[in-house]
Amino acid sequence: MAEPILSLEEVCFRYPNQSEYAVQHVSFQAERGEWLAIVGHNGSGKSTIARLLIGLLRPERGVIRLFGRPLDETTVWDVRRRVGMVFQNPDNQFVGTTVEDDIAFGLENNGIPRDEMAWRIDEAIRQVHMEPFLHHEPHRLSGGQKQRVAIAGILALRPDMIILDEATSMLDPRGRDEVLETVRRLNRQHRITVLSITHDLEEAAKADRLIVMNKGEVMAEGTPEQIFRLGSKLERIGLDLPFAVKMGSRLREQGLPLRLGYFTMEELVEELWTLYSKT
Amino acid sequence: MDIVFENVEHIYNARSPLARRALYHVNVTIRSGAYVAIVGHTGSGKSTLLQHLNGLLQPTSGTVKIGEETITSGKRPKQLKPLRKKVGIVFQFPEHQLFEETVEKDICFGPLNFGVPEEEAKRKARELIRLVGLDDETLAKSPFDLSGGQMRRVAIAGVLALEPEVLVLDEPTAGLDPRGRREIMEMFYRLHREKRLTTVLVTHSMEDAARYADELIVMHEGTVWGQGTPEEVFRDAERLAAIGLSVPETVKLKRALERRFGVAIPSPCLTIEQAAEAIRDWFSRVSAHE
Ligand SMILES: Nc1ncnc2c1ncn2[C@@H]1O[C@H](COP(=O)(O)OP(=O)(O)OP(=O)(O)O)[C@@H](O)[C@H]1O
Ligand SMILES: Nc1ncnc2c1ncn2[C@@H]1O[C@H](COP(=O)(O)OP(=O)(O)OP(=O)(O)O)[C@@H](O)[C@H]1O
Ligand SMILES: [Mg+2]
Ligand SMILES: [Mg+2]
Repeated sequence: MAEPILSLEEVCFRYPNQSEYAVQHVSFQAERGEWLAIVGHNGSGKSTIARLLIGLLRPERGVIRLFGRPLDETTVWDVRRRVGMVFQNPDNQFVGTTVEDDIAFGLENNGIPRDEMAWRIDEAIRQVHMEPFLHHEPHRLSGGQKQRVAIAGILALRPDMIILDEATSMLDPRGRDEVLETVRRLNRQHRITVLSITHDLEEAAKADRLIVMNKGEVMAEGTPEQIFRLGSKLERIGLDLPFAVKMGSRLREQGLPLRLGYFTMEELVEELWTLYSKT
Repeated sequence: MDIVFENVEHIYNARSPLARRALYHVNVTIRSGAYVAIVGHTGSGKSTLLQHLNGLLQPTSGTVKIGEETITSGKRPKQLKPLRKKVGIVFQFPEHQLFEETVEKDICFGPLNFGVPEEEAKRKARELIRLVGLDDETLAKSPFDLSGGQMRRVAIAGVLALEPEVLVLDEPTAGLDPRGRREIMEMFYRLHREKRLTTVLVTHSMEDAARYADELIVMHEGTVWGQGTPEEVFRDAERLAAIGLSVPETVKLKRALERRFGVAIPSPCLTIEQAAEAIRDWFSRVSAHE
C-alpha cells in the first residue's frame, strides 16, 4: 500500500484555558485521491481537526503527517501552500476588496506568475458561475455567493488537498450539486485529495470513506455502506440516515416486505420494482 | 400584524457604479399568524427582502407596512425600537449578531435593552440555552469560542429572548447537525402555534418548506416568481427546475416511481409520513391489478 498522503496518530487538542479536550486520540489516514467525509454532531471537533491539519492549531499530543512529512514549524508553510481550505464562515477568509483581488491574493502568495493568474481566476470564477461579480466586494454578496467565491479561491490554487468545512451549507440544492460535481471532477482527474466536513448525509453518502466524530473522538470509520448500516446508532449521536434508507424503513413499517441495503433513491425505486415483479 | 410589501424596490449602492438592483416590483402580503416560507436561488433577494421586515433596510421605492408601521424610501420609521421588539430576525450568519463577552450577556442584551429586570433576563437565558440544546456551562463562555453550530444556537436563543410577535428566520438550520435541525425546526413550529406568531422562513430545504409552511413565496432574480401552498408550488417540478430550484425528496421519489411504473400516485407526497402511506396504498393497488 502506498504511503498515506495524510495521517493523524493519537492527536489530542485542548483550546487555551479549557479543561475539556476538543479532540481526543484521533487517528485516521487518507490516501492520495481519496474523498473523505467527516460527519458528527455540533461541537464534535470537526473544524478543530481542520485547523490542526493546516497548522492553525498545534496538537497537545500525537503526530500529524502530511505529504510524507510530520507537520511542524519547518513544514507548515509548504503544507499551507498545498492544502486549500474553505472555512465554515467565508467572511473569515476574504482578504481582497474585490472578488478578483481576493482570488489573486492567494495566487500571488503561491508565486503564480501574473499572466497565468489571469486565466486561472477566469476559469475558477466560471466554474462557480460568479462571472458578473468579479469587481464586487466579497463581504457584500449574498450568503451563497460568498460560499461560491470562497470555493473559487481554492479552485484557482489547484492544491493537492482540499478541505471543505461545510463549504456548501448555504447553497441551494442544485447549486450544491453543481459545485460538488466540479470538485469531484478535480478529485478524479488530478487525484486531488478531498476532506469534506458536512452535515449533509446525501453528500456524505457519495464519499469514498466516512469518519464519524462523537464528542471529540472518532466513533466509526468506513465506507458509506458500512457506516449507514450502523442505523439507529447514528441517530443516537445526533446524526441521521440518507433519505432512501429512512423511506425504506418507513415502507417496511407500513408492511411492504422490502429488503435492506440501498442508499440512493434509484436503488429504492429498483427495490420496489423488483418486489412488484415478484408478485 | 399583517405585513404588506407594495411595489418594493431595493437597490444597493444606488447612484454608484456598483449599484445593484436586488429587489423590484415586490408585492407580497403576509397575513398575521401565517407561516410563510421563502425559497429561491442564490442571490435571488431573499435576505434583502427579510431585512426590510424590521427596518434594517429601507426600500429605495415602494412601501413596507408592518402592522401600524410604514417604512418608505428615505424615511426611517420615527421609532425603530418598537419594531425591533416585535420583529425578531435570526440572520443567515450567526456571527453577525453575536457581540458580547459571554453567551449569557449576549442572550440578555435584548431583554435588558427593553427594560426587563436583570434577574428575569438571566433566568430566561438559562431556560433558552437549554431550549436550543446547549448546557448551562455555555452561558459563561465567549460566543466566539464556540463551534459553528453552537454559535447558531446561541444566536437563535438571543432572538427568542425578545419574545417577538414576528419570527424571521434566514436559513436558521445551516450549520446545525441533523438532530439539531429537526429539533429546532420543531421548536419554532411549536412556538408558532402556541404563541400565535407570524413566521417567515427563508430556506433551501424544500422538505422544511413543504412540512411547515402554509404558503410559499418563490423568489427569482429579485422579484416574486410564484406564490401558493406547498402543494401548488411543488406540483410543477419542471418550471421550478427552470429557475434552478428542486422539489422535496419525497416528491422526487413519487415522480421516479410514476416514471418507472407508469402509474400515477394520487397524493402530493409532501412529507415523509404522507409519502410512506401514499406509496404503500398505491403499491398495493398496482400489485393487485396484475
Ligand atoms: N476558539 C475556541 N475556544 C474554546 N473552545 C472552542 C473554540 N472553538 C471551538 N471550541 C470548542 O471545541 C469543541 C469542538 O469545536 P469544533 O468547532 O471543532 O466543532 P465542530 O465539530 O466543527 O462543530 P460544528 O458542527 O458546530 O461546526 C466544541 O465544544 C467547541 O465549543
Ligand atoms: N450589502 C450588499 N451590497 C451590495 N449588494 C448586495 C449586498 N447584499 C446583497 N447584495 C446583492 O443583492 C442580491 C440579492 O442578495 P440577497 O442576499 O438578498 O440574496 P439571497 O436570496 O439571500 O441569496 P442566498 O441564498 O445566497 O443567501 C445579490 O446579487 C447580492 O450580490
Ligand atoms: Mg465546525
Ligand atoms: Mg441570503
